[in-house]
Amino acid sequence: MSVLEVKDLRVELMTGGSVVRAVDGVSFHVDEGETVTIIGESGSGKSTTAMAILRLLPDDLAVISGEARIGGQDVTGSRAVIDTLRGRAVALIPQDPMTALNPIRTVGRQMAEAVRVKYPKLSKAEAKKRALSLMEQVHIRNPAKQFDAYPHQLSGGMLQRVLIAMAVSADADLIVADEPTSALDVTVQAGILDLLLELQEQTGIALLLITHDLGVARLMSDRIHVMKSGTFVEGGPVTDVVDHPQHPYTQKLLGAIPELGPWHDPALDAPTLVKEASHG
Amino acid sequence: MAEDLLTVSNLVVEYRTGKEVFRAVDDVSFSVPRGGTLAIVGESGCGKSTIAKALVRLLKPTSGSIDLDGTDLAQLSEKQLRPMRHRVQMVFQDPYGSLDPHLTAQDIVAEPLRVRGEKSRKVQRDKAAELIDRVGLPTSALERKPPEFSGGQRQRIGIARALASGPELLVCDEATSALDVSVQAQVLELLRDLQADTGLTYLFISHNLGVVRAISQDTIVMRAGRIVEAGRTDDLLSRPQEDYTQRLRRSALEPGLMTGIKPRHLIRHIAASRTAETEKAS
Amino acid sequence: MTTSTPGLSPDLSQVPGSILGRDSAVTRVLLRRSAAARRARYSTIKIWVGAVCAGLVVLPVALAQVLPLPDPIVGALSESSLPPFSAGHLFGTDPNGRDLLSRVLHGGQTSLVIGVLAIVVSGLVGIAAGAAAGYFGGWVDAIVSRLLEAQMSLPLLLMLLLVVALFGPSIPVITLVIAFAQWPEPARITRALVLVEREKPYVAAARVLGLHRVSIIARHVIPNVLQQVLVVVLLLLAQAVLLESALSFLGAGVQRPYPTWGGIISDGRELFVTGKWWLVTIPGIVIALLVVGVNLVGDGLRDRVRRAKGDQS
Repeated sequence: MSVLEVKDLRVELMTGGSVVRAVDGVSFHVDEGETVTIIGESGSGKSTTAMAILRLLPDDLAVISGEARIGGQDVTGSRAVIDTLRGRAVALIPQDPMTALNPIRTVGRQMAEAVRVKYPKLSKAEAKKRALSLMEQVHIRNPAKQFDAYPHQLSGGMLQRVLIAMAVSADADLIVADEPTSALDVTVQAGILDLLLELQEQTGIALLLITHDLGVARLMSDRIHVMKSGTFVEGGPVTDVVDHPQHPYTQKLLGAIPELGPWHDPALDAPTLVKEASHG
Repeated sequence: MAEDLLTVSNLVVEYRTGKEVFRAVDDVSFSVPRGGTLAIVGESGCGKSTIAKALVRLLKPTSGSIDLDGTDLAQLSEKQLRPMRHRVQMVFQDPYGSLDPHLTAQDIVAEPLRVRGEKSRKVQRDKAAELIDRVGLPTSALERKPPEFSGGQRQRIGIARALASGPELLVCDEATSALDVSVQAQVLELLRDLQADTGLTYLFISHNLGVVRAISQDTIVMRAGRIVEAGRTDDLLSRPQEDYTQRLRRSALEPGLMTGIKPRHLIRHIAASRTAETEKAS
Repeated sequence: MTTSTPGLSPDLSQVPGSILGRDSAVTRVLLRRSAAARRARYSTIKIWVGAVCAGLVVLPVALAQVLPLPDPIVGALSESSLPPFSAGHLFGTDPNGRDLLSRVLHGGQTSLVIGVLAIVVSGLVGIAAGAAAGYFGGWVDAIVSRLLEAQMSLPLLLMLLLVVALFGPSIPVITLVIAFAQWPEPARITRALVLVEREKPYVAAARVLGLHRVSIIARHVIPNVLQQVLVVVLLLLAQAVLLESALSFLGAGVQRPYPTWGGIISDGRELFVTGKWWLVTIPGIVIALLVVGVNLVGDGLRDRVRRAKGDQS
């Protein structure tokens, strides 16, 4: 059974002017341990797809039809289903870390809160202990100090690590990451992506990644779907889609990326990294 | 050199917040040849945007000189600067905030003409139409207002507005960063064409190495207000000398160059070296 | 609401109420209940109801000279204190035999003229001061902000009474006094909106062009905040009318025998307990109708403007 199974999902948005068909019949699945990426430009409907699956769109705006099953349970019907799954079976890493946390509460308190969603019986001390160990797991230096810090005191990269830690705290089967590195500097991005790959290696978690960046998609995915105007125009194993794009739109996207040209990375000469490169 | 249009020497820009003084640009010098493009690359907070703002005098540098074809713009008063402002213009990053939403495209593009003294409405209209056409938009665009345009179209209008002043130097401050990748390619092509046709000189600010390679011949890499490395763009990208430049290059994920599934080794080194560095700092 | 029957894909074009045909799940009911439709409905309802209420007052008042009304100043003592719906007197008469409807409509002219003039003056002063404070910052903002704060600490009605006592209760004085009471509101909102607009890149672009600062404020900043500020100014009309009524109720308004709403109520106050309710109640209802109407229209317009600004980005 797939961790996430989506069949013929349709999302219609009732906006002021008209009804917009933001997602027009998409189907895909994400299995345990794999990363599936939906890639598209602005307005393609990729974020709306993720938001609809997580039922984060208000009912007086979005009308969802079709099927979406997380761990076998259909989330498109009654909200009661997704309410039990959010923070437990599925977690979200949002796009902008700066605004995703409550600014008037410490980071630690929010983390402990997230831990308690999954394990409500934990005492305050136990929740704090677990939160600190999660912060270590996402390589936050000096977790005890950051525990008492407020969101505005942390950098974007650090905040994103906190959000990833909160997602991991859910012990979820599926993480939905909506443009997790778009708001970050490029070197910080590398650290976050590395962390996500490491977590996936350790825990076998499934990842649904939403992005507009083909480089990020190529690095992170097992399979990708290319989205345009609400539908998938192409999909398949990442190597196939990127190296041998079939659809003209995919070809156009890939062709528009300015080429950097090859270079020799001196770091890859280091003995340990050469070994890894030959395995990857 | 006589063929350099712009020579910046020992530029320092400081911000004062309360009692603290923050040095955003720390003794930076570079020059741009006439008709050429210099790119400034770096991550957020490195000072590249501050340099851009200093060049168009949205802020006044603390010290140093900005020599534009023989005239030092750095310390001129607003009154002395005003008649020369048309020589350096800017294309902004945010297509959604850089155009006045209550004006038509024609008004926006014609305004620089009016500011420079062109009183005839007919001449303003004709020149605006010419520029709108030059940037690849149809004449029907003239009567429409910014909310009716897409991001890429708005950037084109912004470029037309900048050109209306008849500048010698165009500062592009992350001009394509907010655009979709396919639209970005079109706008870069437009900028290259304009340079080929008119001999315009560009200073291109970006954090995206691919864009920098597509548009510039020379590049400087900035970090924490200082220049880390400078040189021909192709050399810098294929054989970066400094650690930081290498890290930037390594962080640039180019799908066409990757092999295998989830090649984590490509980025692991960046993550490790960054951690090591910040550990040293704290 | 959603149609997720596992294994089945119902042909929604056949579902009654589905409005887009071709397998759309959006039914008429859903669309009517959607947030966007509700917002549009509420603002439209507000504007229409408000316009009707305000119109019921403003139109007759505007036509007071033209309508066949008895003299509002000279009354016939034989017709003193008649109740409403008496022959020839729809609203009844006051103790001097003057027709109440005529007095209310003529008095309304005074109140509305003062009200409109006051909001024009306070609007102009407020927008200019607020824009200057917001754009220039520094000492300009300091002065304007301190003035705004100082005014908040003054007991307003007492100050206004003092001014009227000093300079006499003429229309210009009362207009200026009310405008003085009201300028802080447009000033504050203009300042706040200008502070936001000032940071936008199109303002920076205007500076890079070399435009003078006053030019930038007049050509670029104010036009983009004007719609929102004007709605606030419109809402002040109701407050201006209320202030004028309060002043004339307290005896500081345009003097007898010229009718003013506040004056009519004031004169009728003692007679209320003797059972002559119409002298107080009817002008009161008229004021309330105008105030509620103008506020509803302003509210509805504010919703519309806010949505339009939101859609713009």
